[in-house]
This record gives sequence, C-alpha cells and structure tokens, in this order.
Amino acid sequence: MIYLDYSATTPVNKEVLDSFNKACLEFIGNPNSFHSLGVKSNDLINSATKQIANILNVNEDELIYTSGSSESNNLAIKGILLKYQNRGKHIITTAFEHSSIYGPISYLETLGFECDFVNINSNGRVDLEHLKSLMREDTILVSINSVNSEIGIIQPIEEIAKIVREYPKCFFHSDMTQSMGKIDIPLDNVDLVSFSAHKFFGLKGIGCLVKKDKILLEPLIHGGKSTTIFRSGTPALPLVVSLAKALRLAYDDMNNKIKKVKEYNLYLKEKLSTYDKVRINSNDICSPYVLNLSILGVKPETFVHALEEDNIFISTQSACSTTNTASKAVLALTNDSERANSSIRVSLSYITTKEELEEFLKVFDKCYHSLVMMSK
Amino acid sequence: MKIVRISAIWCGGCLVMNKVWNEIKKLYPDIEIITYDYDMDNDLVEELNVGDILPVAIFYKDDKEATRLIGEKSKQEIISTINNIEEVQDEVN
Repeated sequence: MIYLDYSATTPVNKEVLDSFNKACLEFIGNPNSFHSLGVKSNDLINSATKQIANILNVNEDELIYTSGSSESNNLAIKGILLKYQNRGKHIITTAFEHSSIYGPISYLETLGFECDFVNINSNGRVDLEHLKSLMREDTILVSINSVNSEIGIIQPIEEIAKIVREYPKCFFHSDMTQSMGKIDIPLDNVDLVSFSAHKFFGLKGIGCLVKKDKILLEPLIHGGKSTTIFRSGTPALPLVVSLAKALRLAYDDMNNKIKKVKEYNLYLKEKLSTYDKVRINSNDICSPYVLNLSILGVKPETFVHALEEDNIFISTQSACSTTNTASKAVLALTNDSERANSSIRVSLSYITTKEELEEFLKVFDKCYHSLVMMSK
Repeated sequence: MKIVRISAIWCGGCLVMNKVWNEIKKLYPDIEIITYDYDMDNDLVEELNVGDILPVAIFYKDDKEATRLIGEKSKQEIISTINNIEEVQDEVN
C-alpha cells in the first residue's frame, strides 16, 4: 500500500498511541477530582499542556482543547462574533478555506452578520490591498488559513496580521490545520489558531484552539470549567497527552523533514509535468507537502479509483461540489474550469519514501495512458 | 417569476452568493426567491436534478423552468438572466 493522502489524515505514530494507551490505563482519575487519582491526572494534563505551550511559544492558559479543527474553527468564529457583536457584525475570509469556516459564517449570516471575501492574486496569495479596502470599523474578525488544503498555498500570515492590527477592535483567526507540525509559522501576531492532531501523526478526536490571553469567547459547549471555561466537558487526558507527544515528535528535526519533502515534491513535479495532459496547479509558494495537479479530460474520481486498484491512495478535494469532483480552489487560482474539473491532490509526508514515489509514478504512467486514451 | 436557490452550509461559493442574492431581492421585490439547503431539504432538492456543482439557481416563469445558473455568478449575470426571461415572456404575450 502506498499512502499519499497525508493532508487528509495521517496514520498514528506508534509512540503517540503508546502514550495514549498508557494514560488511559494508568491515569484513570478525572483531572478535576480532588482525590489523589484526580491530582495525579491533573498533574499529567498540566505537564502535557506545558509541553504544548512551550513548543508553540504561547501561555498554557491560551490552549483550548477541542475535538479537532472543525470544532476549533466553529469555536473561534461563533465564539468571537457572538461575544463581540456589540463592536460590529462584519467578517472577512477567503475562497480558500475549509468548510468548517464557511459553515459557521453561513449560520451567522442568518443572525445578521455580514461576510466579505478577500480577493486572491494570480499566485493564490491574499490580495493585501483588497484586504485593506475591505477592512471596516465594524469588522470584528478576519479568518484566513495559513496553508490551503487543496493546493497548498501558503498565505502571508505576518503581513495579514499587520493589516488587522491597525483595527484594534478586530481579531485575526487562522486555521493552521495544514501547517501545524509541518511548517513552523510563528503564532505571535495571530489572535486565534486552529489545529488538529491527526494531521501530524496524532490521534483523531483531539485538536486545539489557541486563543490569546484576554480574548473572550462565547462557548459552544456550556457547562463549567474543564481545562478552560471556554469548552466544557471532562478533560480528555489521554488525548491531550497524545497531542503533546505528536506535536513534540512533529517539531523534532522539522527542518530536515521539510527539506526531504521539498526534494520529493520537486521530483514528482518534474516527472509529472512531462505528461502532455497534466497541469501542475501547486506553484512555487505552496507547501511542499501538497501537490495538486490536473489531468485534462479525466474525471478526478476515475483517476483516484484507477490508482486505488494498485493500492495507491491519493485524493480529490473540493469545496463546492456535491460529488467531490470540481475544485473551487483550483478554479479560483487558474480560472480554468477544465483544470478545476480534473484536479487531484497528492500529499506527502516525511515518512514518504523514494521507492513509494517510484512505484506511484509507474502506476500513474499506466493509469494516465489508459484513461487519457479512453477520454479521446 | 420565481427563483429557487440550492445551496449548502459547507459551500464557500454559496456563501459568496448570499450577498449578491440579498441585493437581487432588493432590486426585484416582486420575484419570489426561495432557498433550499442541499442537505436539509434533500427530498425537495432530489426532484430538481441538481448536478455536481453548487450553488444552483433555477428560474421559473409561470411554474415552468426557464433556465438555471450553476456556480458563482455576478449580480449582472443574474440581472441579465432575469431580463432575458422577462423579454421572452413579453414576446410570447
């Protein structure tokens, strides 16, 4: 089996799973209980929280554990907009976000909030001048991801933050699900950051919203103090411990991991761009972990299933298609509906091997020739 | 004239179009504009043969489908579509 869909999710690291199992079996107390088992669990969750905070260079009380990025995004958007609606009802986002950004905004529009979309430049980056022009006195949130999941475009987070800073009533949220644990993007100038452990070899079911000190949120789940007042529920100690472990492992030797993935990405790009019907959609400012390409004339799901027959797993990715076929992000970037209707995503990780890529290319060649011929 | 919009909460293109449709509603207060949610109103949506792409806007004249717009469209494109349908109707009359 060759897995090249790491942007969708990653297999859990054995060390992470061991930490989770150990915490499940040996720390049975509720961290909020006063007895010794509770105190023991509380000490462990505090230690894990301290570790995560140190890695991210934030304060421990700025971490809100969630079930994953979708919840983090919902909490950030609904939490800020509902809490600060007396300041204004305007939000700005992009066409390159995850559906868990669009979902809460769509819901909030029914309550009278208003959303504007910032334009993107020809390379896929946010048009900073357009962002400036959209900012208003009643804008209370700008939500822009760090790395787009479909194409991998890396947004200029620092520059966006600088623009938002000029509006003291406005907060800046970034969905960093696709960059966390892969690319080191400082969180210094971002007010709220979402991420999920399963994107960097952690477990599914645990994520985090980093919320800078002094910012308030309307909770999604009311019910009293957990590890924070902003998200109630019994603290998920084993999951938090597993998150700390996954994050620590992800940050270990991060530069060499990126270097290796960059080399593999370039290698794939070089090989795949020799095909007549292939168009590479990911450009030079994209994350090396994502390679989006179109095979003109071939339906993406057909190509994905053809590769699957040889045990190779990649994905199609789309935001506005009922059948996951047409990519809004590719359309926004290329303005080419043929490319948008035929795009696939190969996503890499530091555990990808050269042998896997060679095998992928071999099978790709076979599928390409049979499917492109069929489409003629 | 009646317009049925099909959108979904997870669809960014549908979200983009909300603002445009709010402006259309103000411009054409006599046109009935109904919005179906692709997931919630699936019984109704199923009958409309919605394809792969959202959002979809189906334009009806005298209870018959006149045309449909698929994907994100500009305010001007929607206005032109409405005007074309009205013109055709005028010619028929």
